[in-house]
Amino acid sequence: MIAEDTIRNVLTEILDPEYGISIVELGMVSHIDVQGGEVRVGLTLTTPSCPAGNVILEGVRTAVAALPGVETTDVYLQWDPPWTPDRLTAAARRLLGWET
Amino acid sequence: MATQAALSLGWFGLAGLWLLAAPLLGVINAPACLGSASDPRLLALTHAWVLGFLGSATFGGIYQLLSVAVGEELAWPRLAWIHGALHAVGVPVMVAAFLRGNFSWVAAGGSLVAVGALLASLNMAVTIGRARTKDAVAWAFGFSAFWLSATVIAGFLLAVNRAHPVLPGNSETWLKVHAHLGVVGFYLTLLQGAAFRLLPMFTLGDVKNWMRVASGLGHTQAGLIGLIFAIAEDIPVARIVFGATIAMGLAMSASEAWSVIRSRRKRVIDTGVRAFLSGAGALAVAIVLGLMLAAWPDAGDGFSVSGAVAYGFVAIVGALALAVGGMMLKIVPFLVWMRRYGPVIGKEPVPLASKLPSPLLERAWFELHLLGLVLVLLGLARSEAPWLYAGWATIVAASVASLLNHGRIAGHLWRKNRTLGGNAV
Ligand code: HEM
Repeated sequence: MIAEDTIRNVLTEILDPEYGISIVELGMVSHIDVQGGEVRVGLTLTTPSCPAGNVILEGVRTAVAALPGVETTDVYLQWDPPWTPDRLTAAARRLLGWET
Repeated sequence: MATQAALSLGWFGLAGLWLLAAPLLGVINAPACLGSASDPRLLALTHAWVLGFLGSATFGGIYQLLSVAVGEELAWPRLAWIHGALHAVGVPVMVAAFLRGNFSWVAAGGSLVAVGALLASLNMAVTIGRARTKDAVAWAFGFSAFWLSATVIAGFLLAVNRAHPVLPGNSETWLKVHAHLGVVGFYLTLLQGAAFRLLPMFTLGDVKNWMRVASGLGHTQAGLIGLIFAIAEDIPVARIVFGATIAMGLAMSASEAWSVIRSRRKRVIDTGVRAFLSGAGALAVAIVLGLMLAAWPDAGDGFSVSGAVAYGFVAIVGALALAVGGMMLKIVPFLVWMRRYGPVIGKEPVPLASKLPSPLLERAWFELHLLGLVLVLLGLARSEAPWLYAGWATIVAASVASLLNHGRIAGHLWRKNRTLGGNAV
């Protein structure tokens, strides 16, 4: 079975186009569920009106589907609980210019 | 989504042409800025800015942002293309006719622009009507669509009135009504809403007090209705009271916008957001000038003539052009990125949207534009044409920097992904 970490790793290569920080570091990946070859990924956008939402969603779907061992991919938006800044990792905060 | 990006990019392309044409008209007609506010050359210059640059950029923004702002697809995307065609043809006809003082042709070109704007208002209203939840931002878009319709109808009647008098009473009163409907009703109302979607998105900040956003909007709407009445009935005290009500509403919006900035998680405030905030600063100057004009309408020719031009200039080329130009700096790279690189995300590495513009050219636009504003204002204060020439020429230089920057961004649409050995989309 494909490991959750493998999925998370591939998602670190998808960057938010505005901030240049991976969607994992931004805390946008709220849920990963692997059942055999079936992978479900829940994403929370930093703002519901993010115009790049669909593009990011599609990118995640493509990246996960390309992994060996993945048979079906379901990527969905999850608004509850909403994204909050607490989800930013320390690395993201540093990249946003707050901590050195 | 992709066709919507193409639609908005088309509008922004049109805005780019006017961004250069409008200040060039300023250089050519600089001395007209020292004359009467209804000098046809000044009217040409005004509409090159309000309909040419600001109008095109704003509609580009509306057609992209409205659906994400209200969570509902644009009702009739095809109508938005028709609107684009009407606007692209109508505005140059209008501006050229103003320059020649031919008001029948102003009305002809203006009718195309007006029909386009009425279609846009309808498209906006239906889209908002279909939205399941309507917050203050959705209401701001809705109100601004209403005022846009009123503005263009009043503008069309004013143009017809110059050729064949049809309007009752003093035409200067109608002129003031039209100008305030357009600047406060359409543009400022829209910015009062759009700011609370865009600022959080670009700074990772959040709106803390939605009541204050709604209250700010309510004050400007009530103030504008009162101001129109006060101008129409020529009641000086009411003009001041309602003008102050509008100012209070804008101050509420500005203070909430500031709290979004303070709560930002992205530390650096980039040029686009700085330009937007400077636009708010210029607006404060315009409001002070406007209230002074309302309080001392007979303060002598020097002040009431140059003061009125300075008021319009600071509001349009200062506040609105900075705010809209700043938003363009953020939105255009994003649209180009979505169109060019969106389809290959997850398949190959792509550059960041925020890396498409040149920070140097962005700063050059912003700082030269500010310098140009100061020089033109000096010219108006001293009634000296050389300052006006210098100021408009500086704004032309700012526009050139902006066009180079946007050209560089748009170049990505045709660029192969060199980092990957040329994988074209
Ligand atoms: C959002 C759109 C518009 C805005 C913000 C706007 C704004 C203005 C402003 C600020 C002035 C006063 C200029 C000055 O005194 O130098 C003005 C005058 C005028 N506008 Fe517009 N305008 C808009 C659309 C239109 C349209 C579509 C027409 C249609 C023909 C039009 C026709 C006129 C005319 C004829 C005058 C001069 C009236 C006179 O001196 O008798 N405007 N407008």
